[in-house]
Amino acid sequence: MSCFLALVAVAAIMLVVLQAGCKRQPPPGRPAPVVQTAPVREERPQPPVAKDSSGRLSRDEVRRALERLAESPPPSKLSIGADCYARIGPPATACYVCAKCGDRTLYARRPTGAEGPPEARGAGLGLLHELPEYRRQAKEVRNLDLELDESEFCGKCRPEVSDPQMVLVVRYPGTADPHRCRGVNQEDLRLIRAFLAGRLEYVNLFGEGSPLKERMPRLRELLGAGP
Amino acid sequence: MSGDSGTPLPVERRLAPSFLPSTAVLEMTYRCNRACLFCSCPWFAPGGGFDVRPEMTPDEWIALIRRLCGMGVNNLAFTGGEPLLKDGLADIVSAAAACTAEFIESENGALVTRRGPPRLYLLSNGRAMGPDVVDLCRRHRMNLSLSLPGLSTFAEHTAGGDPENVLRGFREAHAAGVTTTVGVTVTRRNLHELYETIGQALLAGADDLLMNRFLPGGRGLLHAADLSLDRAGLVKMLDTAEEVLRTANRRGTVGTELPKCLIEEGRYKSLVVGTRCSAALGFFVVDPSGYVRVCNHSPVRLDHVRELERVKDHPYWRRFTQKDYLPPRCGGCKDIGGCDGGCREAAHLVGGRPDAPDPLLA
Repeated sequence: MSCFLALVAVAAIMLVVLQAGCKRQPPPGRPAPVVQTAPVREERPQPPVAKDSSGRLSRDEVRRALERLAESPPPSKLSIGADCYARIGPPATACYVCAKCGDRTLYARRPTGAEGPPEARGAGLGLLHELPEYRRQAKEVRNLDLELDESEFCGKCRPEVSDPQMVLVVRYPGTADPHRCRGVNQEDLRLIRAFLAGRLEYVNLFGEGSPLKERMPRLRELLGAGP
Repeated sequence: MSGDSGTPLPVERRLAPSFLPSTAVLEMTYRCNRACLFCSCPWFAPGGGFDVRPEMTPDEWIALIRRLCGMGVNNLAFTGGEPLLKDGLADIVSAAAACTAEFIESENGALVTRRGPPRLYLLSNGRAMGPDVVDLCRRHRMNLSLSLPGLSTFAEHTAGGDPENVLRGFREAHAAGVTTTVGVTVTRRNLHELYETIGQALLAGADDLLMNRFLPGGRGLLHAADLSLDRAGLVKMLDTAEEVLRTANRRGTVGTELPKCLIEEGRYKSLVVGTRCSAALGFFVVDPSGYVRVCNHSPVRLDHVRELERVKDHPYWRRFTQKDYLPPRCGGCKDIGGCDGGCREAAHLVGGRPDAPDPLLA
C-alpha cells in the first residue's frame, strides 16, 4: 500500500513539474513573450458523412449540412475576385477614361444612404456609365454637325473644372463660333434626334411619349436656335 | 455635373496614378497540369493562332510587379496556365507582398489615399496543392481560389482529376486561416450537380463562390456546342447558386458579365450578378511572355510590358476603355447604363467582332 501511495505521489509530482514546464514563467523583471498564434477561425459544423456506399452525399444531406453551416457567421472579410471576374462590393471610386488622352480620372463615390437617387450617390456613375450610349446617340445624328465634348470629365485635359458637365457642340455652316450647351443629358440627345427626324412626339427613356412642341424651350437651348 | 435626375453629383476627383486599372492578372506560365475541356486560355485554342513565346523569368516578373505597384496597381492575381507550375513562384509572391501600393478610395464623399502591400490572389486548379502552398498563402495573406467544375463530372471536365484533392485544399487552407474562393465554371454537363458542387466546397471551408458560365474560348472552342448553357440553363444556374448560398448564409458572385435583359431584377440576394465588362477598366492581363491583353479570354495581344505606355493608345485597348463595343441591337436600351450586352470577348470569339451579340443572345 505504501508503495502504491509512493507511486501516486511521484506521479503527482511529475505531473506538476511537467505542467510547470509547459507554462514556463518569465524570469522576474522580464515581460512575458508575445506568442504568435494562428488566426482564430469561426467554428464550422463537422463535415457531413454520406450514408450510402458510394460515399457521395445526397442533395438532402448537403442541404441539412448547409443549414447547420448557416448557423455560423459568414466570413467577415470576403475576398475580391480578379480575373474576368467582378469584385464583390462596389468599386472604391468611379472612373473616367479620357477619350482623347487615355488617362484616368477618379471620382469619389458618395456614401450609401446619402441623399439623392442611387445613380447620383455613385458619384457620376449614372452619367459616366452611360457615356457609350451618349456617344452612340450623337453618332446617329447625321443631318447636323454635332459632337459631344467630354473633356470636362478629364482631370488632365481640364484640371481647372470643378463642376464637370457634358457639353454639346453644334457647328452651323457659315458660322465662325460653334454653339456650346453645357449640362446635356441622354434625354436631351433623344429630344434632338426626335426633332431632327421630323417627329411630332418625343418618347423618353422609359417609353413615355409627349408632344415635342412642349419641349421647344429646351430644344432652343440645346441647338442655340433661340429667338 | 448632374445625373439623369438633375441631382448634383460630387466632383471630388483626382488623376489616377497611371492609365492602368488597379487589378493586374498575371499569367505566370503557359503550362498546366490539367486539360480542362472548358479552359479559355487562348494558347490552348485549336489552330495555334496564339503562339507560345518564351516566358518571363522570375526576376522579370518581380521587376514588372514593382513597376505596376508604382503605377496604381493594387490587386495582383497570379494565374496561368497553372501558376503553381511556375518556377520561382514563391519568390515572385514574396516580392509582391513586400511592395507598397496606393489605394485610392471614397470615404464620406471624398477621396482618400492609403498605402500598403497589394492584395494578392492565387488562382489554381488545386492539383499541385500542398502544405507549402497553403503556407505561402497564409504568410502573405493571399486569397486562394480553387477550381471545382463539378463532383461526379470533375474527371470528365478536367481529363482525369479528382475533386477530393480540391476539397482537401479548401479544408487545409481553412484550417490555416487562409481565405478561399471556390471557382465554378458551369457547363451543360455539370449543371445538374451544381447544388452539390457549391455546397461541398462551402462545407469544406470555401469562404465564397465565384461562378462563371462556360464561355467559348481556348480549348473550350472545341467543346462549345457540348458545354454551352442555353438561356434556360443560365436561369437554372443562377437559381441553383442562389438557393445553395441562401441556405448556407454565404455570398457569391457571377463574374463574367451577363446581359441584363436575361436576369430578373431583384431575384438574387445572395448572388451578385455582374452585367458590366471590366476588361481594361477594372483589370488587365499580362501573359506569360509579358504581353498585355484586355482580359484573360482575349486572344488579342497588345504591346509588351517593355513598352507599357504604348498600351494606352492601342486601338483595341481604347475600344474597351471607351466601351466602343456595344452590340447595335442594344442601342437605345434603357438598361445600357448598367449593361454591356454580355461578354464582349466571348462575342468576339464566336461572332468575329467585339460588338457581336453575346453567345447567349446570338
